[in-house]
Amino acid sequence: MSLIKQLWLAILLVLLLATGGSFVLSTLSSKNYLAQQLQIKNSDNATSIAVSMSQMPKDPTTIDLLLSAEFDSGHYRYIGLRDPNGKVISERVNANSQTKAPMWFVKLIPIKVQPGIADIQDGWKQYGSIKLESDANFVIDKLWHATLLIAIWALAIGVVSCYLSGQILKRILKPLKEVVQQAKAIGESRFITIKEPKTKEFRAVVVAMNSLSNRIKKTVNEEAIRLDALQFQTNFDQISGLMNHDYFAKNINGSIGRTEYFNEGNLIISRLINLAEIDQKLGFVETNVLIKRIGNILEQLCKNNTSFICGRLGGLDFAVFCKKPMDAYAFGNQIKSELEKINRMEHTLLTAQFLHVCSKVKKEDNAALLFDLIHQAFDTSTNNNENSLHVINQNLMADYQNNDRTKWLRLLTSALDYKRIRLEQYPVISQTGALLHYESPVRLQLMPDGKWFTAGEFISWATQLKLMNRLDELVLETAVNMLESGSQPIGLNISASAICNPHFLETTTNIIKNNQYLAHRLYFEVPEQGVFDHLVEFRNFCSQLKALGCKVGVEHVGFRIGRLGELHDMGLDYLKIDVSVIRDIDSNQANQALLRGLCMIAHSIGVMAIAEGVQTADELEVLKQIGVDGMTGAGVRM
Amino acid sequence: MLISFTKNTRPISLCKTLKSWGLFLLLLSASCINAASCDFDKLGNLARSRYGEEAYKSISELNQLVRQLKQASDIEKLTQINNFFNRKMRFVDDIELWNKVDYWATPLESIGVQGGDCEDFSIAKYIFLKVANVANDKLRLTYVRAVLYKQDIKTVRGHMVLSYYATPQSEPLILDNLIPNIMPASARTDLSPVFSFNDKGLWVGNSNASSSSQASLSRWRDVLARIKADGIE
Repeated sequence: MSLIKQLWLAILLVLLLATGGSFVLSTLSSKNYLAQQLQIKNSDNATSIAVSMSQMPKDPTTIDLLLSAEFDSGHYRYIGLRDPNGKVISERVNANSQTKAPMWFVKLIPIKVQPGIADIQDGWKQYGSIKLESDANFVIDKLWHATLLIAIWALAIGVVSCYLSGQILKRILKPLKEVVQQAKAIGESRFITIKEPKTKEFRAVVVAMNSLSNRIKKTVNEEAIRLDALQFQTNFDQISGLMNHDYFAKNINGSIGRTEYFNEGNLIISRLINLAEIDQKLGFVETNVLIKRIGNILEQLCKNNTSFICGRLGGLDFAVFCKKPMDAYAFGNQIKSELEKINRMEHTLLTAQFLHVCSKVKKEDNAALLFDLIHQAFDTSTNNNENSLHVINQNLMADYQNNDRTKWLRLLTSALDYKRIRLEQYPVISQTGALLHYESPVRLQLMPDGKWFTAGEFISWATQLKLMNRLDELVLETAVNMLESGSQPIGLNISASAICNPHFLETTTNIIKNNQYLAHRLYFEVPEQGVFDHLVEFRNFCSQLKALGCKVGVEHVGFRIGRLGELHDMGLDYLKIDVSVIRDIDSNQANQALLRGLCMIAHSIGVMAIAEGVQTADELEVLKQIGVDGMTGAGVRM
Repeated sequence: MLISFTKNTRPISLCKTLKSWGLFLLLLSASCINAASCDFDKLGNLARSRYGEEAYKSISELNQLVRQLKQASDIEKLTQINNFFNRKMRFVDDIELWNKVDYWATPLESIGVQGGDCEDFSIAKYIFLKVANVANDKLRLTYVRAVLYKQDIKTVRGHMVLSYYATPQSEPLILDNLIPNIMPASARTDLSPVFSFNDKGLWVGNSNASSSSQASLSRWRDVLARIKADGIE
């Protein structure tokens, strides 16, 4: 039974005892008081009649008259005059008196009063004795009315007390509710802190829980920052602050490897051709400053455009990869003009000269091949002395332009209208091989009975044509339908723009509310970048869906490790570690250390760590040893 | 052998003793329904602690007297008790003795201070006649109008005597402190009765004097309660 109910019971009991007790006591004491008064009246009246009779002539008429006068004008039930031998001389009995009180009351609280008795003298002789009983009915009436009144008052006081106790109880227990909520939150690994309540006992509990939350937060933060530094050391170029060659290559391969989402991209390598000259003229330190500036410019670019990643492949080469289809010339020129900014920042007459080679990236490509291809282009390039842009493999954009806007609109709309939609199922398994959920990328059949297009192929058009809301709703509906017909748990990818869209959130929660019993089999995952760029919106999204019973996770974790501590109080269910950390984990000691740290962070905030993009059995083995909770990718089969 | 035998028989005899005592007590209480009982030990101790050895002696004397009178006739009881109190007490006005205009003293107080006024005499005699097994019904405290001659000047004053009715119809005998001898009412031309009473109407049934507060007690009830507290019921 809840504390509130128990307190209520206790209060009701006490109130009942107090009001009931005082009710009974006051009735009994009134009864006793009235009975006493009646007793005194009996004996006093008997005495006064006896005194007056003793003084009077004792002829029967006078005696009779006196009795009548007394009886008729007073409240008597009985007056009797008896001679010394007990023989009745004269008596009066009132048989008509009635009480207004109900019979049960009279029986329950009987008023027992002794008759008044006094002796009458006739000179020295005994004349007789008078015995009288007062009429108790008027006393019973009085008592009955008083009892009713007290009962009403007791009831009124009881009701008022109940109301007041309710209010007071509410006030007292208000902090308790918050304390319980915090405790529950901590139980769900949401390490939240709340304001300390004023009540001493509650405060002690909250202080303890707050300090627990703060300690967790501190540990997680420290670990996250340590890992961030570790990652920076192993995966980033120390001078420019950009990704190093291997890590950049892994990222490209990771993007291409997400076959459902990747369709076509671009890669550009910009070579700082006069680095040797700059180094000679400016010296080592200044050159490093210049390289850092170039790094900053590229980093800023990636921040503004979430489809870009950038890296430094070697001493001379800077690279930018775009994972979305884009015109190669437009992309190349964008990077070229960004890099030219560096010359406007420099005071010296010396200018940094770049040679840019840009290539489209196809599904079947990989980083090593692309790098080779581009390096060959550098080698064969004739004009090495000016800022020029070469584009290789640029033909595909034309295909897209052929499929013009209206055609795409028609195709997408018809696919959505006729619900030609399918959710793929890629298993995410636990250490023991049990299914955790299915990753379910969406596919659309643009033409009836035609090819099923992957998200990577249509998502940029759907975004441009503002069909994403419709698509998202349809995906959720489809997922719900699948779950209704008995599917295993389904994980859905939610974009940053979706969590920022209140309409999407409303529709989503409504759909789930209507199918509440399926909620625990719905997993929503948002990319790490989107989470940290829109932390407030994500927090809201997370709390609403968690409240409905859904699972929420973050995917592609590995780029903003230093900020993972900020997730400590959200009650997330899982983190999916990006393929760039997972790839070749079996041979990469540094990434093993990084992953161990990530698992530790995840576990200390009660979150599962899941490895993305697992390909080989060796990777699987090492991942299990490290203590990852779940795995997914091409190498994972049910 | 002998010892163990004694041990064995002892509880039986104790039991018998208890039984016979219980029976005795039962009979005693039954026979005393109408009469008052007096705890003379308590009364004596109270007298000694409050008034000294003299008072204690008086109580012992009284105890002796009551015991002697157990089998005596009513007349004998009347005479002895009347004489006892007339001997032990002087007539003193309440104002002198108790510093109150009218104070009804208990027999213990009266014996203790060796004095009292008319109602103190009457009360003491009434109480101890009852203790000596004279039926309550035969006794009345009677307010009388008394005609006195002080230095041959006739004065009339309120007075109280104890009347004894051998039967309800008979002429009463008067126990008075003014005239020490017991005389029939007709011989007492100096007295004319006004009103008489005893404790009959007061202690019927549930005689719960203790349940009513002291302030609500009549003078008569009050003195009876104090007498009870002294050990006379």
